[in-house]
Amino acid sequence: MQAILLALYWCAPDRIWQNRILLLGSLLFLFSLGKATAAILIVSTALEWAIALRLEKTETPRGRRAWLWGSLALNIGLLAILKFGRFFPSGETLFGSGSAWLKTLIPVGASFWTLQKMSLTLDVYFRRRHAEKDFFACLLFAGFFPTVLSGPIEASRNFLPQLEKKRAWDVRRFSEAIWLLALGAFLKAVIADNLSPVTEVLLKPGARGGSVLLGGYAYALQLYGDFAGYSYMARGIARAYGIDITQNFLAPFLTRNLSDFWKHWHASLTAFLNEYVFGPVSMRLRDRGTFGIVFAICATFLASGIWHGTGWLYVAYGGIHAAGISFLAMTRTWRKRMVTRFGKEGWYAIVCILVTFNWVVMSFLVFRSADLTAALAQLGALFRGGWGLSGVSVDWGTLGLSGLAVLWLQSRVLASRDVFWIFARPVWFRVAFYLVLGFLLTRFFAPPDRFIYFQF
Amino acid sequence: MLIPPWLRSPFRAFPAAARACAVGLAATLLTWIGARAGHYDARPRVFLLGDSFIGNYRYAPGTRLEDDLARLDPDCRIDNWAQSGAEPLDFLLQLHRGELLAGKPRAVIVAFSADKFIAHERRPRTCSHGTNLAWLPWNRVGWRVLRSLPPGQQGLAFLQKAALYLYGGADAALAVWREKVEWDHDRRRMCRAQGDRYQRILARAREKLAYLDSLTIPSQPAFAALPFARDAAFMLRGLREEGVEAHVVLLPWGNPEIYARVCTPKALAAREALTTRMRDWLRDQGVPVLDLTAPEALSHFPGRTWDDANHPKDAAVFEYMSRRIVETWPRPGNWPVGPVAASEIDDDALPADGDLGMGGTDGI
Repeated sequence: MQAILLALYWCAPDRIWQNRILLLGSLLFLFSLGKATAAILIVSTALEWAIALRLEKTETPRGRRAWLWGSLALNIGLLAILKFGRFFPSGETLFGSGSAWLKTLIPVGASFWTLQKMSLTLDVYFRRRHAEKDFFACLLFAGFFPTVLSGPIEASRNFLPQLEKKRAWDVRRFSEAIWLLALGAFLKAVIADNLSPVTEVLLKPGARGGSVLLGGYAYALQLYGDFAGYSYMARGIARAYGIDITQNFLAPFLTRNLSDFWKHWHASLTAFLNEYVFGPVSMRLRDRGTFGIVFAICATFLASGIWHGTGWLYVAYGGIHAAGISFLAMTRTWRKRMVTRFGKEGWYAIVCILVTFNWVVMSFLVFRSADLTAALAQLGALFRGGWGLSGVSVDWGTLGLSGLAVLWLQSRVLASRDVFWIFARPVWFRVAFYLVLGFLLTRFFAPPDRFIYFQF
Repeated sequence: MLIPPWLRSPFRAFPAAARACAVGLAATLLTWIGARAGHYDARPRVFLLGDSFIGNYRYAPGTRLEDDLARLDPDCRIDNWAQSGAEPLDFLLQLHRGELLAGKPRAVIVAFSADKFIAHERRPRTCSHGTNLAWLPWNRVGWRVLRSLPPGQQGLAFLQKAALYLYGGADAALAVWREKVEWDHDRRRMCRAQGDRYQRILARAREKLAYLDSLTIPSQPAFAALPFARDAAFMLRGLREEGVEAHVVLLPWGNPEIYARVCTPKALAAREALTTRMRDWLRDQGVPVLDLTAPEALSHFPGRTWDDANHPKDAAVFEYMSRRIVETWPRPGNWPVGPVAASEIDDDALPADGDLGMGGTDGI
């Protein structure tokens, strides 16, 4: 199916046909996910498109603000109704605990495409782009099949201009697309799916400190493989169609502080929240000094936590990161002195990387837990000790090799600040690397697990 | 004219990827030629197909089943293609792997125990996540197996087949590594095992065999309709269609001491009933069967000859087995059942599409 679509796409005579083929592919994909998902996305995109057009025509600030709030109410309200019902203390949805019909309506990937769709209005409100007159272009933007399930969350000002000209075939870009697909498949099928049973064993209920710590590391690698793998593949598929989308992951486990971590991990969500939550809030509180910054950080990570999912668990997940970054904001001067004293590289950098990584692992343990009680139990085990691993069957080979592979790949990306580092290497290295990658991919893959981020 | 330039000169368009493919293909070709040369033998060839009972790391080179058989009948060349975790469909794929790397056999000996068709937990149709699908043959048998797979697995089969031609060399290296390094390491570890290992084995066996207590014994037709049984029937008929003589060894079902310790009387009765079903099923297949579950044969498999619940470790076991096999040795022209006509093999022999996908199967 993909091959046919791709062949038709590149045989298309002009951009209009290219866009139609992409839209057709996206609609087919959406309907394959479920009629409810497709219907909700199409109707809400139509409303968003109409609001953006009206917003552009409105001149008065008050009127513009009203349309913006209308859009926010529409999107956040829809998400709240469909996803966040369980936020209520009783654990029920907005329509009661027995709303089985509501479950059938919950669209796949709603958290992702709702944010993406919102940028249609936000970009017009902040005058970053004119309102798109072509509804089908908006629909393609909101439901673009590589990104509709789990992002990256694209801004309309980056995506829509690409639809305005014909995409020309480029062998180099196609090679890059294949590279992204292969790398993404490796991270998902070889790293994440092989680590899934390792994590299950280590983080079973009642696990002791050592097991939880090791399980946290395993889960961090698994989550990276799963989500970064999906993002790489999504970007690779988009690139095969000549469309550029945001780089969502770089080298998150080699960053030296939490602030940097969020520039490397789910970067598209970070950029969105930075632009529309942290930026406006910190600007409004700019006279309040550090307090203003800390308040903006807390607001941003509260939004991030709530965006991730239902219940207080995700608020706690956001809270851990908010606490970490607030600490960074409050100790800025002290940290600068440390850098001056010890230098940017060397053991100080290693300590920073280790502290950041372990803080992130702690937040991931919360993120993975079924509820807040389970999360607290695991964190408690972590701080209570019990570091022996007797009675725990640890697959050291899978864990160790996966860790080394991820760290090596991230170090390459970090060194060149680019995921296409491979193309700068000599041909012999690429030949050997492709052979090894293909071999691992076809011989050491695990039975596929559902992508973790599909639940959002 | 219609061919785009990048397809006309792939080495220029994709210098590294095209070279990687060329290197992979060349390595595969060389490996396969080397394997054929290494396996060259004028004597009739017999393949052993089975799971970890036959392909067993607990035996050092020189004491394995193929070594005993070769000593007893030096007129035959014995190749062991058994693989740990292999399912009935894997047996068929192992056969085609052997045919590609060694040549067509005159006969095969397929060995499995009476629990082979019982899927008490979700179990995939082929082992190693379906990597064996790479050995699917380019013939009618292969086509029928392919059609019986769910769509996702058909895609996997194509991917694995493509990878087979690129990674034949690496596969060979991996196989050598497993046999020379991993098996050796595992054997040493087994020899050094501490006393509590036996307790762990008991605990694991208790866990794994708990299903026998709640198992409903299927009727004979229901037993024959089990997805794994249909795969096995298809394999046996496929062998005969291809003119390969098949001989089945019904292996003892596990370490009697461990079973006696961890199984309830009900579970032991279920085990007996299933063994009877398997015997009857084998009789219906019209293949010669060496039944090692008969009381006289079982006396050669006492508890001390087993390493754990399901794997023997004593050289005497394979010596006995090879003696019994050679007594009923398939000799050219001396088989009770000749090759069947292709028309006898119907598509119903295989599980229907989606019936037993790689995602697993429910219990009987």
